[in-house]
Formats: sequence, structure tokens, C-alpha cells
Amino acid sequence: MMKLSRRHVLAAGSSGAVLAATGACSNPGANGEAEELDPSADVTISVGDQPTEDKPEELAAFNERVAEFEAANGNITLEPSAEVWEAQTFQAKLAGGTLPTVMGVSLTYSYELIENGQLPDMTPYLDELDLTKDLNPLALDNVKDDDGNVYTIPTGLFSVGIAYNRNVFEQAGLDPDTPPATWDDVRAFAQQIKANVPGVTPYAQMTTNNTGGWMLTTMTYANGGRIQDEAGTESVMGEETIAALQLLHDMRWTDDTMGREFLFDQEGVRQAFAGGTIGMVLQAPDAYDTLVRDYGFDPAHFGIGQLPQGGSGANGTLTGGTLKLFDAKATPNQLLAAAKWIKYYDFDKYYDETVALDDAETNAAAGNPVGLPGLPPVSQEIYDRYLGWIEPHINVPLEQFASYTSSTLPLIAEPPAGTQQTYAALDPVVQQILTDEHADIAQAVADATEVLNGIIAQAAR
Amino acid sequence: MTDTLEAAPQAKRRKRFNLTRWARGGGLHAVLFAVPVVLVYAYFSWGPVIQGLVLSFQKTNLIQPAEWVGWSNFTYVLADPGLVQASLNTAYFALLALVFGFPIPIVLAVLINELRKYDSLYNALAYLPAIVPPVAAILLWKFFYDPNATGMFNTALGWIGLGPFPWLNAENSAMPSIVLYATWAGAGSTAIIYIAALSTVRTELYEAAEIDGAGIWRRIWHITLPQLRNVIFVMMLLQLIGTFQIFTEPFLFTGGGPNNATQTILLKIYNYAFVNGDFGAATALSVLLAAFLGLLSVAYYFVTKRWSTS
Amino acid sequence: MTELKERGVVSLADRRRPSVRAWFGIAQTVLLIVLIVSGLGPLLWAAKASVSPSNDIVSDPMGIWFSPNDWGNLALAWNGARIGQSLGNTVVLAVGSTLSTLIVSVAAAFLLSVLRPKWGPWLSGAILATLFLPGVVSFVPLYLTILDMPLLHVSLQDTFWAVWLPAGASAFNVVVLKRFFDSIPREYMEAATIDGAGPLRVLTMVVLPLSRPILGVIVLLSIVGSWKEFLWPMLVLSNPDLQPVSVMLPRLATGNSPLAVQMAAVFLSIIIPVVLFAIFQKQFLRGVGTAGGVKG
Repeated sequence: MMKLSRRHVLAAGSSGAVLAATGACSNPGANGEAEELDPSADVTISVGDQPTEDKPEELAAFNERVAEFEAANGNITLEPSAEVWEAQTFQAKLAGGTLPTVMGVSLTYSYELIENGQLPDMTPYLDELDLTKDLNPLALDNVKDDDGNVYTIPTGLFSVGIAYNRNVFEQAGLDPDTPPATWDDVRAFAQQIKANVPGVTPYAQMTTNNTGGWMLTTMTYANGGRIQDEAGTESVMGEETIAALQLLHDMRWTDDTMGREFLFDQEGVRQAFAGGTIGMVLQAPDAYDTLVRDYGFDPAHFGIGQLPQGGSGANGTLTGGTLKLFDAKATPNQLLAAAKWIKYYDFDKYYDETVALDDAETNAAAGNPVGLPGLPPVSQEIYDRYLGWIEPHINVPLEQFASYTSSTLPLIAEPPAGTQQTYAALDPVVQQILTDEHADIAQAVADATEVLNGIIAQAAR
Repeated sequence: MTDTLEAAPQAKRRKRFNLTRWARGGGLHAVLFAVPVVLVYAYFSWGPVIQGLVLSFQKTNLIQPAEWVGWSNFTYVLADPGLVQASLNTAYFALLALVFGFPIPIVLAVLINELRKYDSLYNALAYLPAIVPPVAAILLWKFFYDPNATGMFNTALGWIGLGPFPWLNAENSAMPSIVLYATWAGAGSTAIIYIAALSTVRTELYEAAEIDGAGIWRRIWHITLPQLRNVIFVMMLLQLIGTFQIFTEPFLFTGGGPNNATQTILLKIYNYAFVNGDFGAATALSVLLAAFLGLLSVAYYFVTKRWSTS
Repeated sequence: MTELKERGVVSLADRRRPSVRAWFGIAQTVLLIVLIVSGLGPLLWAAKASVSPSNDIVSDPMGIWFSPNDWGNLALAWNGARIGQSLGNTVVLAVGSTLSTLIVSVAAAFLLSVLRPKWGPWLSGAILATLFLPGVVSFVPLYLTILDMPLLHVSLQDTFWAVWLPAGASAFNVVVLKRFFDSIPREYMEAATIDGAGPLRVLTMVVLPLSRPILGVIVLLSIVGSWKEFLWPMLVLSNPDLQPVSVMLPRLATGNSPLAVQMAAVFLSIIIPVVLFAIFQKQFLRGVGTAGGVKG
């Protein structure tokens, strides 16, 4: 850690100290503590996302990093917490103030949390650590307010693609190196899988715990449409959404290529995919991690392509990720310590070759994927340098990600207003199409639009 | 009760002082007994109800100060097209549970009560589902309800040429599937209570009826069930109260799907508050529900007053 | 084998008739099969799944033959879901909630039925008013109360009190108890008073012993209710060290644990109470029996 601090001081000159001073002024503090920022004062923070005891290796690795960090920062005491983000209880815990000082939550919440004052202004601390300038600008846009203040650190960014089982593709007589490029391909491939591979759901769709709306949004983007206008003032669903639902309807009721389970959420669909019973499903590449490491899926069978497109061609795909939620009620010293921890835990490897190599070696030895493609949380330049360092340890079959990684699709952010509520309100629409053959799609979309406008109005009060 | 009468035995006892107060009809003692009651109710019942009323007119996320927003929470909640469906679903669950779930424990109890051998084995077996932690049972049943032909129930029913059924994966079978589970989970423990009540039925009545030539069915209909009336009344009341609180089952089985077919009012309140973080809308819906239940309880009172002779 | 039991609907004469005998035998057998399948079936299946590899569980759930080669699932589940600890928490929660319900309800019922202070009707009305308001209605503000107790300004979040205390406010139990207390002949209490007993002694020496059956009902309902409780503990107990098994299990299911480990956790959380039940079966069912012996 000492070494790293020096590197940054060298890189950024004395700006850190200056910014820290201005930061302290420009941070009246959402909760009004007037405490002075003192980077060397003793401070205790709790940090979330500690692995649970049913994953002993990961837990050991995490605890080791906690110990290393504490050794390097004598004044900071960490209290690890197994708290992880869960859509079902997140708001309660946030309101209850029982969350750790810092933990990862879905990037989906960023607009809402910033708008509601549930995130502290992190600008001074990030400046103090000189972290802002190297963050991926695309992601940073998601976590700023209108004045350019940064409220959180985005990590683990991804864009949605289509995951497929290469083994199923081979059995169906499809080329496992050629994932479907359009939704017409998806439909045709699904028919071919159904004809040749019994007992497999050719194409699965997530529908519950807000994933239904999330994926419908993705499909709408692929067709060139939007769910909300850019400012998040009204719902603008139209023919693109209807087309996406129509396709699902036809695949379900005309082709019967979607199996029998229509209440999949993220975990459920990944478990089924790992069990080899799903041909294709919309996923981001981080699925590889869970599938292989937690559910024992054979890496050789994993394939992922860029999001299939509809309509006139390269319309785009949906991006998402994780944001680090800092406790809005924490003291400045705690926030600085928390930012240091995140920098240490999630970013040091991008700047320091030794750390990068250590990290890659440890992960490779533990059987974790190294070099998993995704959108980098840092700028492309820094990320490429990092990939160069760890190249010998990369254990992910990158050629199976080729279609995804070579994608040049436009990256589109999530609907801004009441994002999770918007997704939640769209879940039933997708479920309806898949469980009711005679559902009136246009009517369902019209009804949903009304609900979404209600949500937007309620959120904007 | 005069003091003179008590005086002689009283002299030896320590409670003399308290007795005078007692004789005066409560006083300090009543207050002492009232303290825990009032504290618990004030903090955990009356207070929250009042606070709920206040919150339903506010916008708050508990971090920023609350704002008054008039009736907008109510209009928002009432404008939600899902509300009607959630109400109907709750009523539908109540109906299904009443028609199918309610008689089964009674039948079970009457049958077990007639056993003269191994009845404790039957008792224990019937009670097993109640021992299983409900959440563990739901996770199991969710797996049993696998809609594919290879799913547990579908495989078993396939042996006799039925199915495969979609179970939780179709709008019209999702709620019955949940009721089926709830019946399995609740039948045993309810049956045990009926069995105990059956043992208090006076056997002379059966003998008298038998002498009058009443068959087994007539005896059940005219003696057993009327004798159980009070227990049935209490169990039904408990079941109705429970119905409005149904949450765990749809929450864990379906999350309210498919297409809101198992969305219940409590699930909606939960989602407003703890998924969306909209405490105003959640309390507004709670207040509406409370008003409705108030009306319902008045109706219940008048209907059952005539029926229950106690 | 209790041949001493009195007759039920079916008399001994009935039992001698062949048709009744045949039907009775059939009903008895069908009942036994249904009970075994529904009572033991899920348990046995969970036992099998807990030692099978995840993929076998999915691909052949009804397979009779299996190779129990994944004993590690059980250890992973035991540690990961902390089954031992969370079952212990469940018991602690159930006992505490039951005590709290008993203390508050008995105090209220005794106050309203026996002591009858002048302001009794007011209190009675205030308690009755909450009878038909299910906990749901004040759910959110109750949660806020737990986070910051008015006047005291302490948070009960992540303490067992957050579950125990609200369980005390049960209007239903007050009503049931009061009705029962009302039915106890006043002469008993007056006699005790004459003997110099204060209210507390009247309560413990006269009223409670006579109310044992109804107290049994309340204890039973409270334990069963607490055993089922899921939503409330999930909210107020976010610390995994305090969580009951009902909160722990879904957490495991929504985390990235393999299906076999989840099933192992389910099995462990079933088998332990079932074994305890088997051991204490007699006492328990008898207790439930007396409890239910009260008519309304």
C-alpha cells in the first residue's frame, strides 16, 4: 500500500492535498457532521461482500486481503461483513442503516440513490486518492450528478450478450463458434436445437425478481427502442418492445422452443444452464464465473456472443455493473478509509504489476477465472496494460468469448427513473406473454406504459 | 366479605396491606399490571398504527427529512392496476383454502380418532409436515413443482398417465399449487387440535343416536360436527386472519408471478416498502387494507353472532 | 395400542359388521399410505438429494438408485448456512416470543377480567381495536419503531428483542384469555382473597392453574406461529449470527450455492427438529392434545 501511495503522489503531483482541502469545503455533509478529514486518525469501518463459509477458499483469500490492508494502513480497522446486495431486502436494510460502510450493489440504483440523497458525495475522497481520472468515463457518467460530483465507484461493469451451451450447439448441428447474430437467428437456432436435442430448453428467458423487466429492456434496446426517454420523464415503449414480446410469444407458443419453466431468475437460470438443460440465454460474461466455479459447469461448453440485434442492425446493448455503496451517514474519515479499501481491493491490480500478478496467481491457483472479458472499470489504456501483465495466468478460454469481445455495439445505460421499479413492473408483462397464449401484446405494453408513467411520477415527486 | 370475618386467619399473613387495596378494587395493582401491557401495545401496536397514518401522507426514505405530500400516495396506490388483482388473488386464496384446505384436517381427525391401534403412529406422521421449517419445505416443494416432464410430481403423475402439469408456471394453476402446499403444511397440526377436541365429544350421544338407528354418516353429521362447532369456529377465524397475511408462500414460490397471478396484498406492501423503498405508498396501502378489514370485521361480527351460541 | 379408549362414532357393534370392517380397513390403509408419502416422502427425498451431486438431482429427481458420493455437501451446508446456530436461534426466538405473549396477554386479561379498574373499558377498547388489524398494516412503522424506539432512542434492530417484544401485542390472545378468565367462578378468587392473597397470588395460585388448558393453546399457537415466522425476522435480524433457520435457508438459495448444498441444508434443517420431535413425541402430542381439548 505504501508503495502505491507513492506511485500516485508521483503521478498526480501535489494535487491530492489541494483537492482534499477544497473537497472538505465543498462537502457540507449530507448529515451535517463538521468533522475534519484526518487521513491518519484511527478509524473503523465495516466492509461487505465477505464470502460465506460454504466457500472456504474464497473466504480465506478475502480475509488475507483484509489482513494485508490493515497491515498497510495501521490506523484503519476493518470489520468484514457477509452482507451482500439482494434486491428483496436492500431498501429495508438501507433505510435501517444496517449496511456496512461500503459494499457492492447493482449499478441500477445509482440514479435513484443519488437523487434521494442516499449516497454521500465521494468526490473529495476519490480526489484525495486520485482515483477519478482513471475510471472508465462511460461508467462514471452513471454515478455523477448534474454538477459533476461523483457519488460512488463503479466496478464490475458488463454489457449483456447471449450465453450458449457449445455442447448443445454441436449436438444440434450448429457451429459452436457462430452464436446467433440476430433475433431471427435465435429463433431458427432454437428450432434446430429443439429438433435435434431432446430434453433441452432451446432458449430460456428470465422473468422474476426484476430480471424479466431487465431482459425486456435489453431486448428493446436490441431492437432500437427505449423504455424511458433519456431524462427519465416518461415511458416511451413502442413497437420495439412489442416486437421483442411478439418474438417471445412466437417462440413459446408457435415454436415451443422455450421449455416449461417461466419463473427463472438469475440464480435459477444459471443453475439450469450449468445443469446442461438450456441452449441459449441472455447473460453477461460474468455468468462464466458463477457457472464454472459455483455450479461446476464444464468451461469447454461455455460460449457467449454479442447481444443478437433486431430491426435495422447494430442498435446496441444494455450495460450494467456494480457500484460501491458508501454509507451516507459515515464520517469523512470513514469514507476516506472505505475509499482506500475499495481502491486497494478492486483497483490496485490495474496499477501495480506485482499486485496484478499476485492476484492473478492466487485466483488461478484457487481455480477462479482469470482474465474474464468484461467492460473495464478503468480506462481502456490502463486495462490493456493490466491484461498484458497477467497474460500468462489467463485461464479463461478467450476464443469462446470472441464474438462478445469483438462486439462494437453501442452501449446503452439503464432506464434512469425508478430503475428497479421499472423492471419490477415489466416482469409480469413477460410472464404473461409466456404463460398466456392469447395475451394481447399491444394492450399489455400499453398498460405497462401507464404503470411506468405512474412510477416515474411517484419517483419524481 | 367483611374484614372481621377475615381478621382471624389474616393476622398471620403478610399480605394484609395489599389486601386492603385489593378490596378497594384495583388501585395500584391494576396500574402495575397495566404497565407492561400499555408499554408493549403503545410501542408495538398503537404507536405504529398512528405512525402509519402519518407516513401515508409523507414521502420519506428515512435518510432525508420527510415531506408532506397530501393524498398522492393514496392516488398512486389506487391507480395501480395490480391492486385489484392482488385483492382478488387474496380472496381467491382464501376461498381455495376454505373449500379444499379447511375440511381435510377435519376428515383426517375423524378418521384417526376412530383408530384403535397405532393411532399415535398416525398422529406423528400427520404432524411431521408441521415440524419441517416452512421455508425448508417451500424450497423442497419448489423443486417438486418442476414443470418439466422430469420434475418430481410430473414424473410421479406420469406413471398414472397424467400431466405434465405446469404447476407454478401457469396463471391458473399457480395459486392452487400454493394452496396445495399450504394444505399439506397445515393439515397435520390442525388435525391434532381437532383430534383433541373430538375426545371431548360425549359418547352417550353416539349411543343414543345409534339406538335411534342413525348410521355412521348421520352420526358424524348430526353429532360430531355440531360438537366441534366451537373449535371449527376458532380455527376458521384463525385461518381467515392468516389468509390476509399470506406472504411467505408466494414470496418464495413465485415472487407474485406468473403475471401477478399470486401477487397478494401483503406482497405488494412489502414490495412498495422494501424493494422500491417507497414507505409512503406502502403505508397508504396498509391504511386502505386496515379500513377494509375494519368493515369486514364488523360484518364478521354480525354474521357469527347469530351462528355462535356462546 | 390404547384399547382403553372410549368408543368414537363407530361403535363396537359397527366394527363387527363385515362391510364396515372392510371399508374401515381400506380407509385405514389409504390413510397410512397418504400419511407416509406426505409425511416421510419429502424427508427421505431431501436425505437422498443431500448426498447426491447437483446434476443428478436435476436430471433424475425420482431415481431410486443413487450413489451417495457427495457427503461433503452436508459439511458445506452445515458451515455455510450455520444450520446448528440458526436452529438454535429459531428455538430462542420461539421461546422468547411465547414468554412475551404469555406475560403481556395474561397481565391484560387478568387486569380486564379480574381486577376491572375504572379505566378498564378504555384499555379493553384500545386492545380490541387492534384485533382485526393484522400485523401487516403497521408493518412498516413497526419496523421504523424497531430502528429507533420513540423516547428511548435505542435501536432494537439485530437484537432478539425486536422479535420478542412485538409478539407480546396479540389482541387475539387477550380476548381468548379474558373470555376464559371470565368463566372461572368468582368464588374461587374471593376465597383466595379472604385467605389474604394479593392479586399476584390470586393470579398464580388460582387463575393460572385453572387456565392451564387455554394457556396450552396459546403456547402452542405461539410456538407454531414463531416457527413459521419469516418476513419479520428477515427484516429485523440482518446479522447472520442471530438469524433463524427460516431466514438463513432462502439466503443460501439465492446465493450462489450449488443445488446439492442447498438440499443438504434443507435436509439438515428438517432432520434435526424431526429427530427431536421423535424423541419427545409423546410429551409433545399430549401437550398439544390438552391444548386442543379446550373448546374455543
